[in-house]
Amino acid sequence: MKNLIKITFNSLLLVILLSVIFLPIGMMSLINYDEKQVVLSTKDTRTQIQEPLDALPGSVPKEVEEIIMKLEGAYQQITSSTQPKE
Amino acid sequence: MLSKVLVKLIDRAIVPAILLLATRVVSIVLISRYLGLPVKISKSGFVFESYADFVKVNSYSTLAMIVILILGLIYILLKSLAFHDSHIKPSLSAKVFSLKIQHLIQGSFHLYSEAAIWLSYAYLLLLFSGIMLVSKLLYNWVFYMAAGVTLVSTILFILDVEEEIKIKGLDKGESEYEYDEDKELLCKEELE
Repeated sequence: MKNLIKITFNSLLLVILLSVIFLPIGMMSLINYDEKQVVLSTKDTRTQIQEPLDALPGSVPKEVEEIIMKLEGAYQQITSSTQPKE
Repeated sequence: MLSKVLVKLIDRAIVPAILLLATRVVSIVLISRYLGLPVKISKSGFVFESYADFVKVNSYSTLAMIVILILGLIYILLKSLAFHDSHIKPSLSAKVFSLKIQHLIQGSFHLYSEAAIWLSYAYLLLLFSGIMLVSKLLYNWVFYMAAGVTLVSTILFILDVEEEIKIKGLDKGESEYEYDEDKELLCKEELE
């Protein structure tokens, strides 16, 4: 019993000694850095309000609109000529 | 019941622990102010805005800790090499007493327990700065300085321990006291 108490007390002393020794060295990790992120995170993209394409203002230039119409016409011509006749 | 060595070691460890801890905190604040680096204090400690600032302050702060460690080790080495009660020169001893600084003369138990604490701090600082160097969080020369200080102080302490062993005759397996031999010889003479 006496030995057990002796071992317990001395273990406690050893723990105190080790904590006193490691305290200043452990405190060396008190210093950190926080580099600012340049790239948007996935969270940022999710929170961004996405406007639907239809809701875009009619700011398409006329030349672009004409080209689109021409291309659409050409596409329809091709599809109608290649379609098999009933 | 309590181990005398452990109690002594705890007693000897408190002052250097407080000194090193205070040096770390104060040096971080002073260096960041001196260099004009922005620092925030949060739950995780001192937070710097960039990696370069962090490395700079961390290196100089570790250097400040090494300087404190050097001062402590010099004080202990001086006591153990020059004022050790087992091998202090008589003239120096007289001078010390005349100057009333006899507290500098100490025994092996007191000196070696103190030396063990300061050396363990030196080795821990070396280990931690080595880890920081590998992680590229510290300048190379700070680590080399810590290594140099640890190496030199270890060698000097070994020299003192060797001196102590020589004086006490422990290396030859002889007894601590010289007159024991004489007694033995006297006994032999008496027998003859």
